[in-house]
Amino acid sequence: MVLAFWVAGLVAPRAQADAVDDAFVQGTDAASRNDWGDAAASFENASALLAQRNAALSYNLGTAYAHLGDLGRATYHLRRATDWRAGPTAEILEAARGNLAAVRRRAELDATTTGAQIDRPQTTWDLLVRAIAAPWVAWLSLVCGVGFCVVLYVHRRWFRTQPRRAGASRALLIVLGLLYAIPGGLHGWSVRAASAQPEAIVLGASVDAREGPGQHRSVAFTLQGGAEVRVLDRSPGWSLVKLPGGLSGWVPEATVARIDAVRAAPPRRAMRDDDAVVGKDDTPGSDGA
Amino acid sequence: MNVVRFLWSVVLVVVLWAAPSVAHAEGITAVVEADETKVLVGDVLTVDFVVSKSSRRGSLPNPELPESISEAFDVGQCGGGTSRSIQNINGRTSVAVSRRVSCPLTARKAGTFKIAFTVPDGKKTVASNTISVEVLASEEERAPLEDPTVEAPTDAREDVFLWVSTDKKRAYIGEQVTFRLDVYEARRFLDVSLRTSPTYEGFISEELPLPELYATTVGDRPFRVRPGIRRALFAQASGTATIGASELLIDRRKRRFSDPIELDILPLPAEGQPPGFSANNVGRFQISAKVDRDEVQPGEPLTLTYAIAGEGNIELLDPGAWASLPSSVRTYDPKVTTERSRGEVVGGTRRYEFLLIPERSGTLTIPAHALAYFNPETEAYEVAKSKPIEIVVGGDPNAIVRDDADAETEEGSVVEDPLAPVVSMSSVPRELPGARWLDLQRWTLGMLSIPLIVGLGLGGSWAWRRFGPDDAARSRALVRARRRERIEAAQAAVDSGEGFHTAVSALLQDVALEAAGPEGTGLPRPELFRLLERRKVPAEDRRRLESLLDQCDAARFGAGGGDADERHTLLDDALAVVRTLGKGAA
Repeated sequence: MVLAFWVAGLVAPRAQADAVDDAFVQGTDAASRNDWGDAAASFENASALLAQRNAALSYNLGTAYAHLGDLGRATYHLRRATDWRAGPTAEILEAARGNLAAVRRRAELDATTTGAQIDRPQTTWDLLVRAIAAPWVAWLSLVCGVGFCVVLYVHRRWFRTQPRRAGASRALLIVLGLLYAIPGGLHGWSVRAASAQPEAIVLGASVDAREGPGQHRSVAFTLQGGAEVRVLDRSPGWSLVKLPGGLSGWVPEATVARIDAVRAAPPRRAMRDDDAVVGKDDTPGSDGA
Repeated sequence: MNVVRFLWSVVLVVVLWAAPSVAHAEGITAVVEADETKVLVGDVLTVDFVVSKSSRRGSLPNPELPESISEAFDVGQCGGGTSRSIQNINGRTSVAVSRRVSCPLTARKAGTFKIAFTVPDGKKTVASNTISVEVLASEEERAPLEDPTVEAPTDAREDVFLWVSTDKKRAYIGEQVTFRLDVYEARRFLDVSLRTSPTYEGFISEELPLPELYATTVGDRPFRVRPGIRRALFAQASGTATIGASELLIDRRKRRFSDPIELDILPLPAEGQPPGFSANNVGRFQISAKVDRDEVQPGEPLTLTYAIAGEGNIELLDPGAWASLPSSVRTYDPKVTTERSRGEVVGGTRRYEFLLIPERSGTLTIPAHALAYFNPETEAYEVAKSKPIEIVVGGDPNAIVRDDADAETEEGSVVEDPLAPVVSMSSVPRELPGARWLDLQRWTLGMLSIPLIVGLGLGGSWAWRRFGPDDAARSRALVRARRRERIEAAQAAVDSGEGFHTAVSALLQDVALEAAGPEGTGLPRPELFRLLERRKVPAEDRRRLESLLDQCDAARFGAGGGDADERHTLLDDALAVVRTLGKGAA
């Protein structure tokens, strides 16, 4: 009995791995035939079986959805493909960024024609904030903090009575202290803000943002599929999202997906009911133009 | 003399007889007073009925209001009270008692009405004086203004009144007429508000900014002018159009009305009128066209903006049919925005932004757009035209960008930009980069521990300085350490004898110096022992110390140090002396 369980435990992951690979190959075959509907379904199947981040799978899914005109999901999966936690190779990273730019242009065009709201292009300030949240800033501030402690000890133990060395060590202390405090403080603020207000992508073709959580609330504005938002708050079944420009409104929870989630957002078929609630066209190929 | 007296008597009688407003009867006086004697229908005036007498005897009767008063006025809630005054003149005291009843009366109909009342006084009836109140029929008074273009009054009618005017008496359909309403106040009133606004039937009206309150003179009287209404009116039909009267409420009681204004509205001339001309296109306008870029690639969007600027009802302006573009240009409905200019003349800029996507290479010409309008100044139709624009659509002139439908049927893609292909691999890579060692929790812990470490270090250093050993304690510790070293050296050399006596001598010398204190440093041995004596070191101890030192000297400089047993004995004796003297020194 124990042996049987042991054998089953060895075989099951192997079988699941094969199923993932099979689904992936089916997807690439369908893509080579330009059958993007089948390709997306196969990649979604592989993604559901794998249940972890994977850059290649996210990239293929995003590309398939881009061909289908589902700009929300295309943006979502391509963004996940560029996430370091998904382990993208340099080639996948470059291709994903290129496809993301193409999808973005199309989403901006759709937003212009339909009057829907989309996040503004990233500014220098956004890039700066993103850079502050990078791991190297964390390392820099931490190393500078440790260095500050060491130099302070040396200064007080040996250099305090030596004017030349004391001056140099004091200057070094000021530099290390500033590098510890300023980048460290900004990094902490940035990381906390990002974790408190996680990034998400609007999945539907266009989603009505309401003034409160509930279908009876009036529509404040319409969000373009693929728009990048921050999730500020949650209410059962609803999320309060905010565009970088400052507009905020409540949307059905299923119409936005967090980028940092381990499991990918559910596929379109599974979301059809939710989309019906949103009341917007989300069929393949519908672009709102 | 008698003649003079007679004349004075006649004058007195005449004065008494000629005072009809005050009636006297056995000391009772009845007086009626009103705060206004000329009011409009609907106005409220306050009438006071006062009964007084100059005697304490008897009670003061209540005034009886005449029934006729209710025929012309609505009598409101009356109130009042009794007052008493005492006067002492040349030792004679007089008392006067009066009762005042105040009633608000609302004028109900026009006419001149007399108000008086009576009071009973015993068997008699005392009548009050009579006042006349003139009530004007306000509605009948307000005939249309003969010349509404007079901006300011030349004579002051009352303390507060309304003044209305327009900038013209005759206008075309769609032409702006500016209406003004001002409140003129000769003195400050507590509460002045516009109860009824004028009506603008047959006009489209736009609110204009109000000027600041200002002071002026009307017929030599200073007035404060409160601008009440400024409106731009655009007549929608020809004929006589009327701007209705408005009502001003003063201190919640009095009302003042403005005069209505009649305007002659002319139809737009038929001669020269373009076909399909909109009556809202009246004023002076210019039109311009621009694109955000004049070179694009097929499939790239560009924005074409028409801007119509000028004076007139810009919000309702009809731009006319837009020029049709080639079928190879995808055109979307325009986004329309209006930027209103602020001032007495309505106008501004209205923009129509078209999103265009040329799908074929070549030169795209956007034709000029013509806007027809009627200029009321020249009384003629005019046309404003934009300039044509040429756009270079790059790429292969023969290439045609597929539209969505084509793209879907041929390749199934709806994103025009070329997409990188999907990646093909036989096996999905499972290896993911490991979690970063420096996660948020570790980083936070490390960052917070640094100030903690620095704080603890600096605090500990300060505490050591503040509460650690002083100089004397450190000195004692040094002495103890040196003594320990000497003893250890002596013990180490006790068996071999090499350096033993030197170490014991140094140990004893140190103990002697410790017992003698700082003054003993550098003294020869006899002097040192005398100092020990002064320090009250017991004679037995001094003797033992001196003996041991002598033994050490003898061993160091004499014949020899003896055997090991003797050295052990010497060491024990030396340690005994050290314990005795060292304790005292410590």
